[in-house]
Amino acid sequence: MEQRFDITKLIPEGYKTMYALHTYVQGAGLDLGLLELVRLRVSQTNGCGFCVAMHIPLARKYGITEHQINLVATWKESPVFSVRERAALAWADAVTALAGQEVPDTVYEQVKAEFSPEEIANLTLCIGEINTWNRLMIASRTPPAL
Amino acid sequence: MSERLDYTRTSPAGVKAFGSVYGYVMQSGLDDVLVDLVYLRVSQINGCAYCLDMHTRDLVKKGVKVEKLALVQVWQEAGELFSDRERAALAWAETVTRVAQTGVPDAEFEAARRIFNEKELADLTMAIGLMNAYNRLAISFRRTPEAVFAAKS
Repeated sequence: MEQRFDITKLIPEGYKTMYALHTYVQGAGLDLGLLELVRLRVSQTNGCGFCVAMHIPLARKYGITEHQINLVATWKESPVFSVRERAALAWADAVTALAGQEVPDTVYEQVKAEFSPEEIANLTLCIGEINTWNRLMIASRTPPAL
Repeated sequence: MSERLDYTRTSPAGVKAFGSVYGYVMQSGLDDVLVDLVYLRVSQINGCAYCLDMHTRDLVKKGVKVEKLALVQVWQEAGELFSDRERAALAWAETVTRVAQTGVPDAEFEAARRIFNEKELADLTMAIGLMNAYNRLAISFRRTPEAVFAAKS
């Protein structure tokens, strides 16, 4: 697996704007472990090896347990996630997949029950951001940093 | 279909941060009609009403004819209405947007690289990634297309 192109070298200014967005999301007040769980899940859905390899150790660093890391791919059937984590993961799945080109009311109600409007907005910015990174890393075939 | 929440009000700094990525793409050197065609096609795939409305208007403002706009969705069947660069950009936009299904195969990459240099392709990928995020924000919160307000006034 050879890297196709390196965005950090080819377009450092563009990379910088993406990184600034990341810095915003990190400082938005949401639990950093929860954000890593969401990033890991979205990266699994999109199939980004670089991103999965990056977000597993970060999830661990911010307090996500081994059980949770191992089971996030099957979170719906796994009893190791809180109601709040389940709401965030359901929202991340719906926003990433856009099945039927929409995000259903049932999932919105679920996330609204657990998060404030500002938190939902920031969580969605995080999901949007990781969707962008996934595409950048998959398209450029950036190998996982192991 | 009313708006769920206004993320531009709850997270202005986050929206501004996304705006900086948008600003970067705008000044990257890529042709602005080409970028807007890509934004339109990505928004079609994801099904974003707000974004279709905005980028259709932008393309009209830039002088793109309705005959061409109408065929963006089926550009592969539109003969030479789309230039080689436009066709390559639209093909790349499709495979990168549908990443979970495609994995962005080598054949698509090689086809894109025949037309675009490395930097152009990196910038184009940034544009596609960005629009995939913008689409998700507008779809998730059911942002109202400008056309709806215009029709009411």
